Formats: sequence, C-alpha cells, structure tokens
Amino acid sequence: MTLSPLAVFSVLFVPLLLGAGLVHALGLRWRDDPLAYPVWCALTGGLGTAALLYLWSWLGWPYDARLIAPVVLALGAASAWLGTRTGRPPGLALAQPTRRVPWFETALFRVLVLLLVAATVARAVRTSTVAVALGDEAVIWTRKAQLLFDAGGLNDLFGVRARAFGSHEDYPMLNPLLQVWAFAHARALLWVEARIPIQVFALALVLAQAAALRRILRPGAAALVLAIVFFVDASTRKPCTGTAEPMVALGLLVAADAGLRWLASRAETWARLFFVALAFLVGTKHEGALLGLSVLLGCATCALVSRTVPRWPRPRQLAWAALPLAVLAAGWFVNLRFGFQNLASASPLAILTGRFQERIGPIVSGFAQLFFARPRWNAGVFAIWIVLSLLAPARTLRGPARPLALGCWFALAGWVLVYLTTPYDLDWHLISSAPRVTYQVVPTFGLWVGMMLAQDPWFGRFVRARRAAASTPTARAGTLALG
Amino acid sequence: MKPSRRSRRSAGASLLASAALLAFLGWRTLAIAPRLPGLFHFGGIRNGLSWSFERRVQRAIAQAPMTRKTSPVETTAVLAMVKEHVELHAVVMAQLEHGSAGRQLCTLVAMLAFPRFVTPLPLTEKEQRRCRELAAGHGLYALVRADASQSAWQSSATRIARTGKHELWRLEDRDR
Repeated sequence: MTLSPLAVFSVLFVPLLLGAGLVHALGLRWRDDPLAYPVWCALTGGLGTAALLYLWSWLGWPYDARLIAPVVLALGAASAWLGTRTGRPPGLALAQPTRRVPWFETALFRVLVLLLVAATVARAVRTSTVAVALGDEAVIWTRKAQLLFDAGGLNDLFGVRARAFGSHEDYPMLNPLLQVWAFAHARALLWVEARIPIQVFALALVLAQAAALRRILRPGAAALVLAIVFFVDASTRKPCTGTAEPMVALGLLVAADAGLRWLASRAETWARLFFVALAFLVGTKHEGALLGLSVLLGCATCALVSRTVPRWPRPRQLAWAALPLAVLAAGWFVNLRFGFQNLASASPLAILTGRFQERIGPIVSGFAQLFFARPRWNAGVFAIWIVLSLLAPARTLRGPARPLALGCWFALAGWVLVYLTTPYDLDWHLISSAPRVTYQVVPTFGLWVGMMLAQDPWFGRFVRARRAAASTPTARAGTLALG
Repeated sequence: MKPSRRSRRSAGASLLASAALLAFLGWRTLAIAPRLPGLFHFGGIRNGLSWSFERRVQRAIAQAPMTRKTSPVETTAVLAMVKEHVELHAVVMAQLEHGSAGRQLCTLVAMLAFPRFVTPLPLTEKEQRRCRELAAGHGLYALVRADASQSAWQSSATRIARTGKHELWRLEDRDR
C-alpha cells in the first residue's frame, strides 16, 4: 500500500465524522437506529466531502489532505453544533414492536449481520490485491478522478483532456470526487487506495439492508431475506470495487427506508434524510437519477389516485427537495461548462420512433430471461415481484409498500425506454449493462419482499400487524396519505 | 354477514400470494445454502494488507486478456518502456493487439502509465488532430507491434525503444 495507516484512517473516518455532524444537524441520533446510524453517517459524510471537493475543484485549490481534512472536520463540528442548537423536531419515534421473539432469533440475526460485515470487509481487502486497471472501475471512474487530480481542478485543461481521454465523461462527479479525496492524502495518484472511499458504501449497504429489514420483520425473517439478497452474484454487483453500483443501491435503499419512516411517523427529520439520500442517489450515476425520479413518481401517483384525502407534506419538508435538484444542477453545470455529452442523448426520439417495433421484442425477452432464468444475478426478487403483482395486485399495492411497488414499475418502464433509445448495439448493451443496472434495485426489492412478508402476522414485527397499525395514530396518518 | 364474492376472491388471491412468497423463500434458501460456508472464507486478507504496489500491478496485468502474441511478461515490458521513455502528459497512440483484447490491453497500459495519455488506435481524423494538439510540448508517440508492416508515417518518425514484440516511436507533434 502507498498510504500510511494514519492516512488510510483519515480517508475512512474524516468523512464519517463530517457525516456524524450532518446527521446530528438533520435531527437524527444514534439511539434512533443504532444499526442504521453508521450508514447515515457514511452517506451524508460522503456527500458532504464530495460537495466540499466540488467547490474546492472549481476554486482550483491544491488537493492536499492537510488542508482539506481540517475543513471537513470543522464543517462536521459546525453541523453538530447547529444540530444541538436547533434541537430535534418532534414525532421522530416510530411504533415499538409488539412481538416478543425468542432470544436465539435475535442472536441469529446479530451473528449473520456480523458475518456479512466481516465477509464484505474481507472481500474489500482481497479486491485490493489488484491495482485499478481494467473495466468500468478504471476506464470511467478512476480515470475521471485521475484527470481531475492531474489537472488540479475543474479547469479548461480537465475539460479538454477528459473529452479526449475520458470515457462517459458526462457521468456524475460524486464517485470521482471521493477518489480524489484519497489522492489528496498521498498528494499523488493512487491505483489501490482510490477504492477505499467507495468501498465504505459496500459495507454501508449491508448495514442499511439489515437495519431496514429489522425495522419491519421479526429477526429470523429479516436474517433470511438479508442472506437471500446478499448472495447476488459478485460479478454483477462488483461489490468492493470502485464502481458506482453499490452507491446507487445504497442511495435508493436509504431513500426508500427513510421515506417509509417518514410515512409512518410524519416527522420532518425522516423527510430530510429521504431528500439527502435522493441527493446522494442522483450524484452517483444517471441510473440513480432515473431511480430517484421513479421513487418520486411512485409517491406522486399514490397521492393522486388516493381515494381518501391525501395529507400532503408541508412546504418546509418539501423544501429539502432542493438538495437533490442542486446535485443534479451541479453535474449538469460541469457537463455544460466542458461540453461533455452523453452519446445516448444524441437523437433518442428518432431512434425510438424508427426502431421501436424491431427492439421491443428483444428487450422484453431479455428482461424476462434476466428476471426468471438468472436468479443468481438478482436473487429472484424481480420474479417474485412480477408473480405477486399478477396473482394479488391489491396486496402488492396495499399500505406503505404501494409507493415502492409503483416506483419499481416506473423504474422498469424507464429502463425499457433507455434500451429502446440506445445508440449502441442493443444486444451488446443489454448483455453488458442490464444485469448491473437491475442489480441496483435488488436491495430495495429485498425491503419490498420484507414488507410483503410483514403483512403476514407470523413474519412481521407486530402481532397482527394490520390491526396494530390501524390502532396507532401515527400509522393511521401514514395510511391516510397512501389511500 | 356473508362475505362478498369480491372479498372472497381477494382473500383467495392473498392466500396464493402468501404461498408464492413462502415458495420463493424456500427456493432461495435452498439456492444460497451451499454458498453460506463462503462467509467464513477469510483467505487472501494478509496479501491484501501486505503486498507491495508492484505486486498488485502484476496481478492486474495477469488478469488482463491474453492473446497468442501477448503475455504478462510482454505487457510488463511495454509498461516499463512507456514509463521510462515517455515524458508525463505526452500522448501515445497505441496498437498492442488487434480487436477487443488489444483495446483492453491498451486500457490497462493507459491506466497504469497515467499521466501519460495512452490512447488506442485506430483514431478518427478529428481524434488524431486533438491528440496532436494535446501532445504539443509534451511529445507524441506511437506504440505498435514490431511485426507490423512498414507504414508511411515511420519515415518521419524516430524509433525510441523496443521490447520483444513492440516498438515505441516518437512522432512529430505538429502537422507540417
């Protein structure tokens, strides 16, 4: 390794400390969910560090961790102070579980989470025996970070070189900026440690899944779904490399989980976390923006078709939507300034109208094959989602699972549209990207499967879940908005 | 009161859905069961923590696609040649092999030789012009197979170095 242990420690923990401060400012505390707390810190800390480096890059200041780390820590301390000053918004607590579970079930869940965390760390360390040199990890993400670091910021030199030697240079900046954070510690380019800030999110994804499932399922059932979703083929999800796939999956899962907590409690804090996670999501990849839009469309459809009077979020809560929009605008501004273009945006309408009939068949058959014949690539969650939607559509669209199920249909429609308008060879594009792109929603689908299971009193965290939910005022408020 | 036909149908569908969910859980549990012992596999961690940077680079080279004419030894030699003879920020137009394997090898050398800009051939007219512009002041090079037939550009270029199977040429970085 090129970096000293102290530098590796700083690469890992300085953003987490910033995250802890930001999470405090959002109004969340460790005791709200000890399992999810490190996830919130990693997500907000990563986003905050990247935001600082984005500004740093425009200013052309030197990439030197001795200058950047104190600013990151100061921002974390200021956020924590702000959080202490403003206090916590009320109504944060969620309904307490009414089911008593045997001790060994809880122990089984804890042991499994520990094992999955250890396995992820081991995989990350093993991955680091290979320098970043091949695949999307190298060509798209590390290359962009290298070009940015070498040019010394977001300047004309970066633009010219990225257009000439970059690949997919229009992709969002979150991942490359975090790799630059690692470079700043060596004040030189790195080919191994560049992955470290990204690998944190693979670990956070395991904890996020565990926390989200544990909130709605009894420990035994949560452990089972967690294990099922964890064993997706590694070649598909590239869990511990420097690609953005685990980041997209994490952003979507945290947004979905925070959104569900928001629906259940109506507390503004969860709305803040929901929009922060959406901001992270749109900063990862274009697919992240598509998934974020799908989530919002799912929520909006629920509100519009609701048969009861929907309780719209307060403007103060919706104001946080400015955050994902700001991240989108930041990426858009970089592309506009340097003339980065997505090849897919060249003439989508002409391709759509001209080749619709020729392409729709192979796309549908490609997805059907992926969902039903390749369960190792997606844990079979798409298959069960489609089967349940056909068998019992009312059940899949009932309660808090409704926006999630609708959002997934919107995402599927979005993917089909992308493949219909692709300027690349369709077969090649489907084979090379569909397993990866669909993997990004697998952890969130795991949560959806958990919600379906939770409707069954035997699996849920609540005894007679529906009756218990109906009797609590906070849950009633949640179901009102869902119709 | 007797439940309506609609509610009975809904209850039946919900029961079917529950059965499908249980079948799904059983199916996936059986599918992942053989992979559970993998959770206890902690081999390779010591290597990940202790290997030198050069060894990690060697491992990346060993994972690159191989053809009959390339080998990790040759790729290592090409990388060393580029690092030794090409100054930083110079542009190297490279064709190490034909086809996709050649492009991947080129990507590998480009990544590991950065900030020397190794770009795979063939290039369009516009891309070549851009390469010349970017190379101005730093140098423009060609990295080609030694057994390739003699080309017209080689008359105005200087051969800098060679490995067993590849040659590095310095080109004029401005159009005359």
